[in-house]
Amino acid sequence: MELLDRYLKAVKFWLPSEQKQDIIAELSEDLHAQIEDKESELGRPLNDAEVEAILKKGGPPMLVAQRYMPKRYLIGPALFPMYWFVLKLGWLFFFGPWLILGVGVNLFAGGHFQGLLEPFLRAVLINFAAVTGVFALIERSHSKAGMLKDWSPRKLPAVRDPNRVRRSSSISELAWYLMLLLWWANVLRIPAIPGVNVELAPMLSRWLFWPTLVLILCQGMIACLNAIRPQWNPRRAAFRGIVDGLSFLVVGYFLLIWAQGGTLVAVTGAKLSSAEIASAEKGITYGWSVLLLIWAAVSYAARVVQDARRAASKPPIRNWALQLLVGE
Amino acid sequence: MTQGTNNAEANDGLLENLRLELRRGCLVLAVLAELRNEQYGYTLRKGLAERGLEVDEGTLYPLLRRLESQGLLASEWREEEKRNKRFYKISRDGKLVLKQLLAEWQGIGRSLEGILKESGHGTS
Repeated sequence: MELLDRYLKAVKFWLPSEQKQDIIAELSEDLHAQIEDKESELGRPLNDAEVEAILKKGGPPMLVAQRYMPKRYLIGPALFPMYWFVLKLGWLFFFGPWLILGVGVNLFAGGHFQGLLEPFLRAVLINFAAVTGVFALIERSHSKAGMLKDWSPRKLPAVRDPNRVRRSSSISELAWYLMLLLWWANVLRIPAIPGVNVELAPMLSRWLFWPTLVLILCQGMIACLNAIRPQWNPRRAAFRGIVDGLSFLVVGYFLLIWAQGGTLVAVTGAKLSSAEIASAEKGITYGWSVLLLIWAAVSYAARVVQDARRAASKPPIRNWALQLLVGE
Repeated sequence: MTQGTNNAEANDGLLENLRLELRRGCLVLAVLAELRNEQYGYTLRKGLAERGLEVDEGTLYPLLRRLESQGLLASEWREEEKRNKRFYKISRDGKLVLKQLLAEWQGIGRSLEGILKESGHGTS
């Protein structure tokens, strides 16, 4: 019976301490009875292989013990969809862009990948632990019961007309393009460094100043129109599709310059050495401006897709990530 | 391994899961009904198996404990044939619940029979 004793000991290990003796006594009785029945059927004592077969039928010790315990979750099935959604949001809007852009910038600017990886992994871990911890607390608190009990179909968010434009997003878009226009026309000086003049690189200002200015004005005009008449129609969507497509090409051209090692800005300053000027130009080009440009390119590409569908009188794609990306 | 074999294995797995799900609810009913007469775990398991309802010990004993903690069963340890055994019997609350469950079960049976007849899968 050595095998049986080993099996019972292994099951016992995983059982809750207050029930160990009781459960093992009952399980032992059942297994002994099974063995005795088989022995009387065969008319001889069972060998190890036969005892092993009986024990294997019962299942692995940990699984057997687990069946005696109540179902326990760190985050239960009711909260899990929300928990997963929050984790996905973190990846979509923070870790995903960080990883993609960080890797891109580091590789092209000759940085060290290891230097990027360490803070990234730390942030991922902290985020995961914090989100999991908060949801585990909610799971254990009574707030979950209230949250799931006090629901009513009336409290659920209204189904939005996919062609209705939110005024708040039109107004914020308008403000953004107004600021961009002032910056592009060199009225708003960002970054503002005393004694240092930051302008668009000569090649860009020669070829792209006016086309970009027109595109910014068009984008502002569409945002203004959307704020006044917040409903997409195929014609307006087609117009924005063209403007978005051209904006994508301009942003893509900027990125091409960056990828080829060029600079997007020209820095001048009486007290700066040529080495300092070159360093400042590189610093601005390879810093946040590139991150913004990549973000803009992705956003314009996504908008072209939605614009094209609306222009063809089709409903836009109802994907929450895509909708957030295009600011709807 | 061929695609056909994989599909057959997947179907077997699915069928087994659905079968277990179907049996799980019935098992409570069968256990409560069987325990109208006092029995210990192993004889109960044998009795159910003889009636075509095989249950492994890893399923039956946790279920007996759950039903006891819910007040539907009562148990006591007693010596029989020189061995300590735990005997179970349905409680008063258990009898009431069994009656209600049986009515529910018969209702489900009638509904299901009607549905199956309508869809041409009648049992008779």
